[in-house]
Amino acid sequence: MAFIELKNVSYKYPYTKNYALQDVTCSFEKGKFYGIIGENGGGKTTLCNLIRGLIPHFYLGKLTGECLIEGKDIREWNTAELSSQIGYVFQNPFTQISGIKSTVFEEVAIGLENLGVPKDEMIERVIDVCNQLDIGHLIRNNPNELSGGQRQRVAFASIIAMDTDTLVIDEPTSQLDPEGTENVFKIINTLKHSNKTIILVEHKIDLIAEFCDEILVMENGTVVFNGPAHEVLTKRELLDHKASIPEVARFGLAMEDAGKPLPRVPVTMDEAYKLIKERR
Amino acid sequence: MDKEFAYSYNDYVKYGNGFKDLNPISKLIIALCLGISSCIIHTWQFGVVLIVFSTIIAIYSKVFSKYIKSLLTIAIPLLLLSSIMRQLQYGHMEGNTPIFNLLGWQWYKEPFVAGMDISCYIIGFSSVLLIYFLNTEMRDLMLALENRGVSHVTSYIMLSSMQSIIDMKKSADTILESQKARGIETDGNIIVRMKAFFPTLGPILLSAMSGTEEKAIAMDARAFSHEGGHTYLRVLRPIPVWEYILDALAILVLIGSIVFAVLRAMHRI
Amino acid sequence: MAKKEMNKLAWFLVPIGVAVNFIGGTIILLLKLPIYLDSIGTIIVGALCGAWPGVIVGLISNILTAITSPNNLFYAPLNMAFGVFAAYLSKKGVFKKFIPTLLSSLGFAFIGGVIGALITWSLWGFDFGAGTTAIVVLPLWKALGSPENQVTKFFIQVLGEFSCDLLDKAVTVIVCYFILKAFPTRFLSKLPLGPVYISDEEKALEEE
Repeated sequence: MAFIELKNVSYKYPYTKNYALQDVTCSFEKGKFYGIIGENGGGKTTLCNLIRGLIPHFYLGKLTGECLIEGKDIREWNTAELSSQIGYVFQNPFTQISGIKSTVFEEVAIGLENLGVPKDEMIERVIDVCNQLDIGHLIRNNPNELSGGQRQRVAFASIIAMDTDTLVIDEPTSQLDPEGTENVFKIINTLKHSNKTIILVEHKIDLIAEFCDEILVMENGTVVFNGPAHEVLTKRELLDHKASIPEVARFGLAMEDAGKPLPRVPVTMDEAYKLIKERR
Repeated sequence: MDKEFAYSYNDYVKYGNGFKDLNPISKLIIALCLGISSCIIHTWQFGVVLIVFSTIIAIYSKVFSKYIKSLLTIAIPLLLLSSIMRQLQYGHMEGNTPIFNLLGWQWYKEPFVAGMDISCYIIGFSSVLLIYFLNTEMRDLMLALENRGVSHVTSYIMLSSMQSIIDMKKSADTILESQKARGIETDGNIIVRMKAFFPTLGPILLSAMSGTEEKAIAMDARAFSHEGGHTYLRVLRPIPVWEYILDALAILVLIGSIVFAVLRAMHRI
Repeated sequence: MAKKEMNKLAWFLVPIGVAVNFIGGTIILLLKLPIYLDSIGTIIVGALCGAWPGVIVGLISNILTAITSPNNLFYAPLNMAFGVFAAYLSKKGVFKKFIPTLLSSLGFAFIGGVIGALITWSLWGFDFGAGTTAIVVLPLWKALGSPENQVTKFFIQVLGEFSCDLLDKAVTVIVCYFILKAFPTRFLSKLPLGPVYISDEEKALEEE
C-alpha cells in the first residue's frame, strides 16, 4: 500500500524564480528502503521537506498538485502529528543537537519527553537505542561538546528513539569525516533490518546500491528515473545524466560494450564477485 | 553502557546540600522577597543584615569563593563612588557633622550615611540574588516553572540562550585567533581595533542566525510542537511542608518592610 | 496555520539575539574599545521579528547578566524598550537606508537617556547615581551652579546618560544596518518583519 503519494506536485520557494519541484509524481510504500540520488540543487532536499510537511507548513511558497500521507493531504496534517509519524535526520550535526540538555542520555530522550512517554518506558527506550547505535559510552557526556560524528549519531538516536514508522534521512554523512561516515553507515545498516520505511538521500552511490530497494533519480526538480534499485542503477541512460552510477555497474556496462557481458550488470561489489565467480 | 547512570534518572534531582536542594521556585521567592525588602527599607543596617545572611548561606552551600568575588566586584566601586559622589554633592551644606579629614578634604557624616544607605541596600539586594543564582541551575528553575504550567518554549528559549552564548564565544575566539594569525591587528589604535570588530562579528552572527532555521526543523522533528502532556526525564523532589513555611516567612519579611516603610514615611510627614 | 509556523522561527532567533548581545560586549572588551555594544541582538531581533521577540531578548540578556551582577536586573526595561523601538523603526523602513539608520541612534540614545535616568534616579533615592555617567553628570551640575531643583537635576541626569549612550548607539545601529543588509532572502522571507528587507525585484517574482 502506498504510504506516501505525490501526484503532479510542483513547488516554488518564496521569492525565487524557478520551481524547485516540477510535476513530480511518485509513491512510497511501507517497509521499503528508498534512495534518492541526483545532482545538487536537483530537488532532493525539497522533496524531503515536502514529505516531512515542512512544505507547506514551514516554507511558504507556491505548492500545487496533490501530496498524500496515509491518504490525507499534506496541507491538512499539522507538523506536530507528522513528527510522530515521520522521523527526520539531516546533514548538519551541529544544528541537530537541541542545546538545552546537559547529557547525551537526556538529549536522546528529548523527543520522548515532548511526546509524553512515561518515564520508566522512556529510560528503557533510551538505553535500548543507545546500545543499538553504540553510543552507550557517551551517555554521561555533554552533547554540546561532542565531535561532529558523535553528534550525528546522537541525532540519529534521538530520532530513532521516537520509533516512527518512517525515517527521512537527508545526506547524513556529507559533513562527516571517514570515521563518522563509517559509523553512520552502521546505523543505516541497522535500520535496513528494521521494518521501517526509509527514504535516504545520499551521494555515496555504493551505499545506495547496497541498501536500497527502490531508487529515484532527480534532476532540475523532476524525477527522471524511478524503479527497483537494480534496474535503475544499471541504466545506460543514467550515464548521460549527472547522477553517478556505481563503479561496478560502470564496469559491467563496459564489459557488455566489449562484447563480454556478465550474466547481468552488477551494482555492488559482492554481486560482482559472485557473478564473476559463477562465470569461471 | 553505564546502566547505573541511566537508572539514576529514576531518582529525584538532588545535590546533597540543604539550600541547593530547595525547590528553585521556593528559593526564588525567598531571594526576591528579601531583595525587594532591601530596596524598600533602604537603610545600610538592613543591607548589612542581608549581606551577613547571604554570606552564611554562601559558606554553607560551598559557593563562598565565587560569591565573594562577584560581591566585591559590585560592592567596592559602589561603596567608593557613592560615598565620594554624595560628599562632593552635599559636603558643603550647612549643619553637617564633620567626621574625618582626608588629606585636607573634610568629610561629613550626613552625606556619608546617605551614600552608605544607598550602596548597602543595593549590595544587600545583590547578595541574596547572587546566592540564588550560584545555588540554582537554570535548567532546574525552568523545569520547576514547566511543572507549574509555563510553556516548554520558554524553557527552550532560556536554556538555548545560555548555550548559544557559550557556542558563540567559542567561535568568536576562533575567529579572533585566526585574524591575529592572518596579521589583522586586534591591538593598535582605536580605528584599527574598530576595523577588526566587523569582520569578527559579522560572520559569526550571520552563520548563527541562519542556523536557526535548521534548529527549528530539528526541534520540530523532535516533536517540539507536540501538544498534550509532556513527561520529564529529570524530576524535582516534591516540595516538603517546611519549604512552604520558609516562603511564608520570607513573604512576612516583605510585608513587614512595606509596613515599616509606610510608618516611616508617615512619621517624616 | 502558516502564519503561526512562521512566528515559530522568530522564537528560535531569540537565543541567538541574546548571544549576540553578549558577544558584542565580549569582543569590545577584547579589543579594548570604549563602548558597550550590548544591544545589537535586541535591535536585530526586534527589527526582524517584531516587538515581543525583541523585548524577550532584552529581558533574558539582563537576567543572564544578573547572574554575576544582580543589579543589572533593574536596567532590564532599558534593553526591552530598545526591542520595541527597533520593531517600530523597522516597520517604518528606517533600517533600509544608511542615513535614517544613523539618525535612529539619536532615538535609541534618547530612550536610553530617559529610561536610564528614571531607573538610576529611583535606585539612588531620587538623586544622581554613582556610575560611569557621574563623570559627565557631576561636572555639568557644578558648572550650572549646583541647582537643587529636582527637575533640573533629573534633566542633567538624562543629558548625561544620553551623551554617554550616543556613541555606543551610533556604532550599534551601524553594525545592525550592515547585518540586516547581509541576510539572504530565503531566511528573511520566514520572519515576521523580514519582508521589509527583501528587494523589490525579488518581491516582483512572488507576484508573477
